Amino acid sequence: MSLRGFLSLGARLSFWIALPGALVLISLLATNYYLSRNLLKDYVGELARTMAASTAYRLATVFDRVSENADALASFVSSVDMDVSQIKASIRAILGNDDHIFGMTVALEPHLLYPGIGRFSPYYYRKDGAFAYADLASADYDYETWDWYARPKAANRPLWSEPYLDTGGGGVLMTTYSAPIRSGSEKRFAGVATADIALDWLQGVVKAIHIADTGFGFIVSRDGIVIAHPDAQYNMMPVKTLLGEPANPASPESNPAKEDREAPRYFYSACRDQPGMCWTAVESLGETGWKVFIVAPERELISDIRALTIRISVVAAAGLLLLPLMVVLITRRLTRPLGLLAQATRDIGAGNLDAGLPAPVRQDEIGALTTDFTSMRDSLKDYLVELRETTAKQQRLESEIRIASDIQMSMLRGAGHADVAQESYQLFALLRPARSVGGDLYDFHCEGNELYFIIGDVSDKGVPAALFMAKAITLYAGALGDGLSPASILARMNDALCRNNEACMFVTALCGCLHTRSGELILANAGHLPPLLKTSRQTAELAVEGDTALGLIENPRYRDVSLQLPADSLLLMYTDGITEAFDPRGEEYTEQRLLEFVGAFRLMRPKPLGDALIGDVEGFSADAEQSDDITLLLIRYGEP
Amino acid sequence: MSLEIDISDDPEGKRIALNGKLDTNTAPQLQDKIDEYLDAGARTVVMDLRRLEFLSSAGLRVIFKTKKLMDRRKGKFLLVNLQPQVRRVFEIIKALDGMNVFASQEEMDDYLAAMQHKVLAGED
Repeated sequence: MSLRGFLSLGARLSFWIALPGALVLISLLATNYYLSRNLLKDYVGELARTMAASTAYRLATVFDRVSENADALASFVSSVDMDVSQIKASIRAILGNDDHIFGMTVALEPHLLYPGIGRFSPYYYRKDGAFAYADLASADYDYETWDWYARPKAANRPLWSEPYLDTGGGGVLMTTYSAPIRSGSEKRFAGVATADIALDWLQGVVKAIHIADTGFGFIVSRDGIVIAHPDAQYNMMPVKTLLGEPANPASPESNPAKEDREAPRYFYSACRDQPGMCWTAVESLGETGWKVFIVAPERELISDIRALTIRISVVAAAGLLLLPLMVVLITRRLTRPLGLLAQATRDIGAGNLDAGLPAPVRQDEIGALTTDFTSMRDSLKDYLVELRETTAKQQRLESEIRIASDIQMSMLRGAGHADVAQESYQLFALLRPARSVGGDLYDFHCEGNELYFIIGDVSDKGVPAALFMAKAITLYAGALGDGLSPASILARMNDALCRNNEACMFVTALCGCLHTRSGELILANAGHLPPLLKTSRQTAELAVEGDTALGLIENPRYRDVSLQLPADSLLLMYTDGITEAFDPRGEEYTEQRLLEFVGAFRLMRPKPLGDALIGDVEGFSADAEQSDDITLLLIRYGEP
Repeated sequence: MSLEIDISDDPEGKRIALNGKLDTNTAPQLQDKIDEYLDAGARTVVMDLRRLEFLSSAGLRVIFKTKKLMDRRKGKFLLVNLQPQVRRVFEIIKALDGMNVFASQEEMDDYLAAMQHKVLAGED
């Protein structure tokens, strides 16, 4: 159970550490991926542009030289008066000088520059490593109708032709540069000098373009025809079929098909032959009006970043998985003393105060807790020992008090509850101490026809009162045998009680003697509450004037009061435990209520009246603690 | 219910004013205070019971004990301002005989002045 507690603590810690860790890692990876992608985008665009520019430059170098050679031949033909064989020799010489030129010719307007020469176009071209010759002025070729001748003638300026399949000699795809030959001072068009470039050479150039695995380049003519594409099947097809829809058609950069020979452009669009986006850079190729397209697929390049991100993610995930394990291990190690403490707590809870406690391992919170726990255990131990001693002492005291209570009750007639029924009188006595022992007392003794009795109340209550009560009741018993009157008995008791009474204890007492035949009653009162007399007619307080309570002063005066009890009358004596009983609100029972209760009681029988009165007082007090000792002494004079 | 005990110095000795209930529970407090404050120098002890609401026999005992102490020291013990219910407790046990009890402060002051006069006269 304790282990599970630690695991859950560890798990909680792991969760709260791993969660932010995971969030940080995820955001780091996402940011990294996003930034890398952006960087790569720029890089790919740049790469495509650079590649396009360098390819364009490389081609331009070749084209420039080729066009220069054609220009030189044109200028040569127009300026120098040559014969046919000289022209042919010049063509062959230039062709031999420039490997890039596939074939060359000089085509003339009939009879213009050389009046003696009509239709004329000797064509030299490469074939199997040697020069081959074809006469383009033959009837089945008719050079004047071909673009390479007709267009420069119409424009009267040098031009690169669109790619075409030449049938005159090479029978290959080619493009032709045509430089006009001009005649005389008015510079009339007199023919062209041409140089051909075989497009299979361009094929080699574009095939050499590589960006990653699938990046490629191609060349497009002025009219938007693909001239050279690594995949030859696209050759001679319109460029529009090759390019995907531009990503942003509104951008001027995004329409490569539009004639624009300005600065290099690039655009970003969906790839045509693979999923994802491609960067396409376009570079114009000088006078030819051609363009170099470089296509770089973003996905392939980004896939590296993706792979890198995935690899980092795997490492991060492994770390995140390891983290809870570490946290659990560390937590378990840190909380191990807590487990031992918990075990010790259970042991101590079960009462084993000698349970082994873990020694504080580290100077940390848990170490402090362990130290405190140990000192708490020790204090508890000491306290329990003390408690045991105190409890034992208390038990001893209680048992002593119990014995004292038994002894005190044994001093009272009937052990605190007397019910006597005689021929001429009935007596009921009850004593109920507020604590185990009390200071109230009663006694009675019948000598012949004389019934001696006393009720008394020692000041205060508890053990001191009980001791004083014992003294008083012993003194009373001692005085009885000498035939003294009640007043004399009280005087004798007072003498003894006054002696060495440093504690100033005192006892109020009502002492009397009833002649059971005649009903003559003698009463003497030492500061006690006057008795009640209930007859068949009325209930009233008997005016028995009190003298000083016993034990207070030496030699006071005590007086006997004589009166005659009517037949069937009931004398009720009590202590202030009855009239000063409190209800839960703190109200007193009062003498008034006592008088009314006794007066209203129908039976002239001591026991039923005593029991009912006690019941009424108890009902009055309810839950309130009994505040003082209660004593009742009822004597009925009359036949039972 | 509790008891407030105010013990102050009087020209002649100590004045003890009680407020509340003097019963079994509070009597030991009063006894302790008296033991603590009533040094041998106090010639007269005045117990003012104006605000004493209840007095039990346990409280009476402390009062008697204090009176006994003052008697032994040849000092004076005076009770003043007894409320009817308190006076009744004294009366039941007939304990007011031999005690100097005054219904009011004036009555007590007169008594003290007379006593002083007597002493002075005796010295002449």
